[in-house]
Amino acid sequence: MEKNSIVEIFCGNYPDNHITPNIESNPNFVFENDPAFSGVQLYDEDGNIVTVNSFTECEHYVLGGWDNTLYGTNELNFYNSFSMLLIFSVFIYSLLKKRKYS
Amino acid sequence: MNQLISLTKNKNFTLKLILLFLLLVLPWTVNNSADDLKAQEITDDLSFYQINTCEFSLMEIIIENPKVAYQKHFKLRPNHYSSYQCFGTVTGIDRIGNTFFIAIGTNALIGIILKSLALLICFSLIKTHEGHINFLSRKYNSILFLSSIFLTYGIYAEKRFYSKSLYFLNLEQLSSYLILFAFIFFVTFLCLEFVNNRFENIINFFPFMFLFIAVIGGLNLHVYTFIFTIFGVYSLFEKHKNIYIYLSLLLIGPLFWIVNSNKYNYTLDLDKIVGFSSSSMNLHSTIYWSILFFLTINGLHTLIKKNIQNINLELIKNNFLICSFLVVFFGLLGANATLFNFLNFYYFGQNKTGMNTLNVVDGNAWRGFFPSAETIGEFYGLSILLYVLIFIKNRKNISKLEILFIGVTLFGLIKSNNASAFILLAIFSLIYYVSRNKQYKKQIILSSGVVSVLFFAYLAFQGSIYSLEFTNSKIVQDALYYKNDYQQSSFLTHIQGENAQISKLIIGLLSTVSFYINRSILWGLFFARYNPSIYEFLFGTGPLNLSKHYSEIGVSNYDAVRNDTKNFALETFLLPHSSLLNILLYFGLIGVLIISIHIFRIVIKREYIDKIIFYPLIYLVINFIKGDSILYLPSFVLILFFLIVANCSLNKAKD
Repeated sequence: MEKNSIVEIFCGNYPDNHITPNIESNPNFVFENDPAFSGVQLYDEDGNIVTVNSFTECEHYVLGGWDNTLYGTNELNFYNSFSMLLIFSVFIYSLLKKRKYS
Repeated sequence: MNQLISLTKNKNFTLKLILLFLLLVLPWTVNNSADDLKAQEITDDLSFYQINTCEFSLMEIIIENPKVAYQKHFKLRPNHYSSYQCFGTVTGIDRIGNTFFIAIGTNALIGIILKSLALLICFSLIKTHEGHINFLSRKYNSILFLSSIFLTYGIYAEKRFYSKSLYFLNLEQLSSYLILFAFIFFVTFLCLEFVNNRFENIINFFPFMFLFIAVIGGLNLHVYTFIFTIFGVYSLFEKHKNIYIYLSLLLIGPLFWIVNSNKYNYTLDLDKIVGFSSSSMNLHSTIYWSILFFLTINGLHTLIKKNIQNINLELIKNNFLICSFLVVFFGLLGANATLFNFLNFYYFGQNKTGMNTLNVVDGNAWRGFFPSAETIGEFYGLSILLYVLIFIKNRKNISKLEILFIGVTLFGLIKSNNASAFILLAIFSLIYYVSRNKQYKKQIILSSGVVSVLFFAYLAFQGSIYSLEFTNSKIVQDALYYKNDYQQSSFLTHIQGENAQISKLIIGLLSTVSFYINRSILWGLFFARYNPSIYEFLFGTGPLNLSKHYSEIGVSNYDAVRNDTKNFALETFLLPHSSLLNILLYFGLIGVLIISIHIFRIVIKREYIDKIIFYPLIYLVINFIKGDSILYLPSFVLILFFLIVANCSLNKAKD
């Protein structure tokens, strides 16, 4: 997927006449809040959370690898599904065994 | 041996073997890298593997770097804290000096399923019978649910320990416990199905606990914890009198431990005692471990009592020998090949990775496969003792296979450097031989007497016998030497007081014994840390909990006079090396007295007990006093087995 598309998924459509500032060359760069932009929560691989308050800020974080789902969420989903699978397998086994003996 | 060979005639043997093979190979093979990325040779520049973590399966690394499988400067280490996505892959490579540490992802929750499946497939070779409890009956379901709930509570009780390995779960949320409950429920169900159909035969295979130690990596659990919890809960449904003993024990002692523990919040890095010791001392962990301890004892008691007629000493002896042989064999394999060292650790569920050398360093013993050289030495000694006793009794021919097994076991015993196991093995074999051959009684006693006198004369000549004044105070001297400068244990304060004549007498006696069995420093260290209140001294602080002992009072390892370290070994996790002292810690003076009285009762009424049970029991009790058997589940079950069988014999004689 193109990087810009990911930014649009996480941050919304690019504003008209948007110019991506060159933040790397300016160590004193400060993101300005955009009252029209509703805050978005982003997560990094270490589980750090940031709430971005402008499209520029959101774009910067997303291009830096931040995600809108917690890394651990995938992990958690896996254990959730796996635990259901385990319970289901016990249920099926019990059903089959019960049928065999009855 | 035929009984064991018959295991291979088990139905579905080939299928089980294939399943086991798949469980051994697939986890380290399937999680391969993407097509555009290939494993590289491991060199001094590790940046490739540090960037591409969780990309290459262990098998890919071994194929690209075959030397990883056998060269000793490569160490494969399990990473229990890794994501499920990294299971079986390399999660990082570090170099310290000339050694490369390769971390392999071994997620704790996947491990619980994988390990229990592998173990239960192996044990499923044991002959089955009709289910002991009706499948899905009220009793069956109650055992299943109560055990699962209790074991899930164990994770809540040790949240701090589990927050590392189960970092992806928020252990403050109920939903996390639902996931954990599902995993635990599944394993409990597997174990219940397994034991329910083998209830009558399983006890004869308990020596295999020394081979399949079955600690689940990243969790403070053995697979056996599930099985003993099941037996323990099952015993609650039995209408035997031991339920009353159980309940009374559960009410008197534990009530104090639980109330007392509320004021503490200590933790302990469990290291090699993981699986059968609490990692923290607080209200919930004390409740959990107190109940688990009694469920284990009561469950084993019920299992043995119900199957006393099924106990087959010949089969148990063979299992001891085979298991000893395999423990030495896999220990040697692990010592010589890095890959086997890792696989041993993972599949046999070792508490600590096996030694990767055959050499004995700094006077230490070779522990090989097991976490403790002393404990495994006892086990080897017991295997040979049982064999000798049954041989003297039956006088059957020795097969070539038995000679091989005994030879390898003897090798393990010698390497473990456990002199007391060796001496006790010789003494009990001799005593039993004399009791069976009365015509040689006089000659044997006379020659033993001469050998003993000569031995003591030799010791005196060597200057190895010291004054009583010196040996009597050795423990206290060592305790004072190792105590720190700012805090003194209540024991040391008490023993230095003027009104401690009885204590001084008892400690003096203990000190002399400790001196001659090379335990002065270790027991001195114990007393330097031993800091009970008067009630804790009487009732203890609860079973299987060393957190307070190791966290409350520290010892000092710096000698200001010499400007040097007092004892190099103190840098490691030094255990008390006496299960009796552990009992004092767990159950207090009252506990020590109850257990001592029980042992004396057995000794006094020994004529009612089969000698094949009695001599090994005394052998184990002596080793118990000077070893840490109570800290390892296999050795704890070992002594409990002989104790409960002896007890059952006494009760039978009484009836």
